[in-house]
Amino acid sequence: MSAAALRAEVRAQLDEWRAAGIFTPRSDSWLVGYDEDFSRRLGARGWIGLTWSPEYGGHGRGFVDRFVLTEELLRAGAPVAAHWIADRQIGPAIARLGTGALRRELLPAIAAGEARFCLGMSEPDAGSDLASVRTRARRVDGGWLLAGQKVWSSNAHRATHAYVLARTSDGERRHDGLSEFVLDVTAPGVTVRRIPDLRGPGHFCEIFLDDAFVPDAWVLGGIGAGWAQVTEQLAFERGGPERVLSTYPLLRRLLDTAAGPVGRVGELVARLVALRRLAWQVAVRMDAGEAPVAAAATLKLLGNRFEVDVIEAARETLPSDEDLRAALDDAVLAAPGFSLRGGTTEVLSVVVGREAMREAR
Amino acid sequence: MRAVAEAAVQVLSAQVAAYRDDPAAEMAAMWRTTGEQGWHLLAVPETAGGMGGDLADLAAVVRAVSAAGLSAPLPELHAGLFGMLAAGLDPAAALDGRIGVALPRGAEIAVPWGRHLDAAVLAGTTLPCADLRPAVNLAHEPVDTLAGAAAGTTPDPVVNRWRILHAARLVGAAEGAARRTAAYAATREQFGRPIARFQAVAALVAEAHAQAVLAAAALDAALVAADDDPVTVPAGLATAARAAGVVARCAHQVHGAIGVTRELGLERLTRRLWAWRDLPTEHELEAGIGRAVRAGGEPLAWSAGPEFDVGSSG
Ligand SMILES: Cc1cc2nc3c(=O)[nH]c(=O)nc-3n(C[C@H](O)[C@H](O)[C@H](O)COP(=O)(O)OP(=O)(O)OC[C@H]3O[C@@H](n4cnc5c(N)ncnc54)[C@H](O)[C@@H]3O)c2cc1C
Repeated sequence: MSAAALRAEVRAQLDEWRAAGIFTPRSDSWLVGYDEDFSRRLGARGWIGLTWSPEYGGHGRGFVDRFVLTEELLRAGAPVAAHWIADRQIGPAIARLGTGALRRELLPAIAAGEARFCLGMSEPDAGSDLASVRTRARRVDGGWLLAGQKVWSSNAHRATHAYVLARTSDGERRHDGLSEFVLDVTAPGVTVRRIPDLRGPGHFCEIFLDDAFVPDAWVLGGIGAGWAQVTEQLAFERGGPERVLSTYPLLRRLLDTAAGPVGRVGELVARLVALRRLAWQVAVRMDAGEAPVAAAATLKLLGNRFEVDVIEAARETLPSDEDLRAALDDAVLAAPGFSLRGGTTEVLSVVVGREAMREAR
Repeated sequence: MRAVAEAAVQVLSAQVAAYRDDPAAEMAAMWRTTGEQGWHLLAVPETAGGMGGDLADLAAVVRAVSAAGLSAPLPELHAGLFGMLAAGLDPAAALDGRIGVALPRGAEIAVPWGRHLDAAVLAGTTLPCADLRPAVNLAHEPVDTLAGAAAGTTPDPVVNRWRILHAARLVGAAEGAARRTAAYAATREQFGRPIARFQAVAALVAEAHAQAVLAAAALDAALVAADDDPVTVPAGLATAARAAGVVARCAHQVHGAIGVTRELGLERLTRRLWAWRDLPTEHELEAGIGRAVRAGGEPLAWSAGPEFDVGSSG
C-alpha cells in the first residue's frame, strides 16, 4: 500500500471514530491525550509499531509510512499519548539494540497497545546536561540494581515500563559509563509520585529507584555505550511531526472558520508546508538508515516556534467564541512545555549552530 | 547536474571579474553568457529542442549560481520557453533565449530582464517588450516594467514555474550567506577566541542555517507540486522570501563592519536576497495563500502535503 493510500485509510478511520464520539480532538494530544483503549484500537488496526518486523508484531513498513500515519493522528488531535513514547523511540531502540528476549516480550505488547512506556532521562540535577545523570546501576547476579531518582517522566503513573538512563561506571570522560535499561515499573523498589503542573494533576511524575532489579536481557545495547545510543535516539525523539503539530487542532479550527487576517493565515500555512516537508525529509533519511540528529534539531527548533505562532494567530481572532476560547486556553497552558521538552530551544540552537559550522568547513 | 552547476558558476564568475565597477555591464554580460550557454534548456524535453532534464536539475543549477552571488536570467528564460510550449506558440525565439515572463503587480507589469527580450509570456499570450520603463532592483539586475495590469486569479502554471526557480534563486543565496556566516564565526577571533564560542553569536549562526534549511525544504515541496498548485508553490517562494530577510540580517550581524564593505563580497549575496525577496514579497504571496485557503478550507491547506511524489509512485 502506498503512503497516500495509508493516509486516506487513516483519515477515513479517524473521521469515523471522531463522528462516533470515540475521541474528542485537542491540542498536545500526544502528551496529554492519554487513552489506553484508543491505543488498543490503533494497535488492532496495525497502527502501532508500523516500522518494526512482523516477527515482533510490527508491520515492516518504512518511516515515511509512520510519518504519514502520525501526521494524520496529530491533525485529528487524537489521544495517542499512551503509546507515543514506545512507538516513537523506545520500540525502535529495542528493535535495533534489544536482546532477542526483550524484543519477543515487549515489541508485540507495544504494537498491541498493551505495553506503555515512560522516559526516565531527566533528574533533579540533570536537565539539559543529561550526561550528568546520577542514577546508578550496580551489577548483581543476572542483572543490575538501579538506585536514584528520575523526574519529569511524563505519564509514568500509568506506564507499564520505563526507559532509564543510568551510570554503570565512572569513565575518564563524563559521557563514558552510561547505559540504557528497560524497567518494569511494577517491580519492587520502584515508586512513582505525580507532580501537578499548571494544568492540574497532569502527566508529570517522579520515579524513585531503590535497588530496582533489571535482568541482563533488559539492558539496551552495550554497557557503557549509553551516550552514543541516546544521542541517536534523539533523531527519533526530535524529528517527528509532533514537534510542529502540537497546536494543529487549534489551527484547524481557525482554518475551518475561515477566520483570521488572510496574510497571517497564509504565512502560517506557507510555513506549515515547509515544516511538514522538512519532517518528511527526516523520515526519508531514517528509511535510508541514517540518524539525522542535526536535521531533527533544526525541525524542532523551527517547529516549536510555529506551534506558538498558531496560538498568537488564534488570539487575534477567536476569543469571542466560548468553545474556541477553551481550545485556545488549553493550548496556551501547554505552550511553555513545547520549547523545553525533548531539548530546550537554547540547547537545540547550539546543536544547529555546530552543524552549520561543520557544514561550512 | 553537479557538473553543469559547477561549470555555470565558473563561467559566470570569470565574467564578473571583468566588470568590477560597472554593474550594468556585468548584468549585460550575465545575460549574454546565459543565453549563449543555453542552460535554461536543461529542463525542456529533447523533442522540444531542450536537454531533457527535469525542473529539479535546473533548480540545482540556479541554486548553485546564486549561492556564488551571481545573477543569471534562468528562471525567466525557462518559464518563457515553458509558456510558449504550453500555449502552443512558436518556441523558436524562446529557444534562442529571447522570451521571458511578465508578472502583473498592481498597476504595472514587471518584466525581469525585459530590456533584453523580444516578448514576455502572460496568461497564455505574449506581450511585446517595447516601451518598457527601465528599472533595476537592489542587486543591479534589470526589472523593467510595462504599463497595464492583468491580475490573474487562477494559479498560472507559467508563473508557478517562474516562482519555483525564483525560490531556488533565493534558497541558493540564503545557503551561500548562511555558509559564509558559519565559516566567518568559526575563524574570526575576539576576546581571545573564535566568536562562534559566544552563545549569542552561535544562535545567529544557527538561525541563519535553520532558515536556509527551511527554505530548501519549501523549495523541495514546490518542485513536486502540480503545475497549477495554489498553495505549495507560492508557499515555497514565500518561505524563501521570508528566510531571505532573516538570513541577511543574521549574516551582517555576525560579520560586523567588514560585512558591509564591497571588498568582502558578502553584499553580493545580501543585495540579491533583498532584491529577490521583493518580487513578489512574501506578504503578497501569503495573502494569496490565505485567500485560497479561505475558499478551500482546512482540507486545501492540509492537502499541500509533503509526499506527492511518494503517493503517486504507488
Ligand atoms: C512537558 C514536558 C514533558 C517532559 N517529559 C519528560 C519525560 O517524559 N522524561 C524525561 O526524562 N524528561 C522530560 N521532560 C524534561 C525535559 O527533558 C527537560 O525539561 C529539559 O531537558 C530541560 O531541563 P530542565 O528542565 O532541567 O532545564 P535546565 O536544563 O535547568 O534549563 C533551564 C534554562 O537554562 C537553559 N540552559 C541550560 N543549559 C544551557 C546551555 N548549555 N546553553 C544555553 N542555555 C542553557 C535552558 O535552555 C533553559 O532555558 C519534560 C519536560 C517538559 C516541559
